[in-house]
Amino acid sequence: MTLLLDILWTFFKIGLFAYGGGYAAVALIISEVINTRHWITSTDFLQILTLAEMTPGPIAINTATFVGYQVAGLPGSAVATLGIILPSLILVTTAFHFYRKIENLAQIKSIMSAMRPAVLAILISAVISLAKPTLTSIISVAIFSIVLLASLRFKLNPLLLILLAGSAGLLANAL
Amino acid sequence: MLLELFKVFLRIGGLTIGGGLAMLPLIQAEIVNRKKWLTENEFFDMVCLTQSFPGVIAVNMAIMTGYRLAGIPGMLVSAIGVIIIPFLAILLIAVYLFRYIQSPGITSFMKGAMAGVLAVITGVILKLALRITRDTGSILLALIFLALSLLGIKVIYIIILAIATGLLGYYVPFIGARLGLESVYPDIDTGSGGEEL
Repeated sequence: MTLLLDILWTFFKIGLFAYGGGYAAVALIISEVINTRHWITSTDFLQILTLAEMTPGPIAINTATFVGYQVAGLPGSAVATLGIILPSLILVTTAFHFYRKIENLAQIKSIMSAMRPAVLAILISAVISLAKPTLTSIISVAIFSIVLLASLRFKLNPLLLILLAGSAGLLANAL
Repeated sequence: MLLELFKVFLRIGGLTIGGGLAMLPLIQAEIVNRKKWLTENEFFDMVCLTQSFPGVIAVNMAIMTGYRLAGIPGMLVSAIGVIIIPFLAILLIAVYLFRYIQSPGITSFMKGAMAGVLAVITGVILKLALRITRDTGSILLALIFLALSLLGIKVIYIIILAIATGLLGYYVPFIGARLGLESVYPDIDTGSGGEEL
């Protein structure tokens, strides 16, 4: 029971301080779970991370679920997953509720119009850091370019495009 | 409504490979283009808001959309919907499949799929960029923030700086006008009705 509470608290903190999305959470998981608590080894963690990239869902959630399972089985995985989303549930709902009431204030509009370019910049740099490990071969660059053109030119379902891209990768490997 | 929200986020959560950012194009396709629950402007403003909170983008996005459309119950079903399939998938793998997953076939499929994921994310961000950078002020701000972000400044500091810039622009109208603040999309004022469903 203390172990489960410990897992809940650890992942609650990770959810609370993970600014900037999934990879920020992963960085925190590394420092909390591997370096501080020694719940899993870094070799295991790397495997988990590769797996999290391949399975559906946000990487931080996948990683939390997996680490929780490794540490304390099924209850551990449930508690870790709950822990990491709990701060979002509380904070986002409260803040959004508040925001809806004040969004028409001129100050808030001014802040939001400065925030938009900032968030755009954050997203662009996130994409750049994702591109580095992904676009490593001519094939992946080709797939990237074709899918990008297709997604800008036609309103295709992104899922269909991703599945086609995966099949293209499989095909290119087989040839 | 609740069941619809649950189904949509179940699909979004269950079918996204490549992390939270990869969910943005899917959320846009489902919620904005197909269901028309949110306008594009509302969607992009929510993306901005989710970025200013800690936590997982996709979960924050689900929570915010759910809350916006159906209050606390909507928020809960969306959050559960978006994480339930990833949760079960990881459990299944953790318990049974861990050693089979790294076969060469799966790896090359995943490499192709990741390139595709990156492309659809880039597509959404390009559209967002075209929408946001309509005047020299916002282009300038975007470039400055991009430079800071590429230099390794943490997201939280960039957000704080943006808030400070916005406040400065409001209280010092000269700077605000120079940066084109407050005028990025003038048509968003009506987005606060809330009861259009």
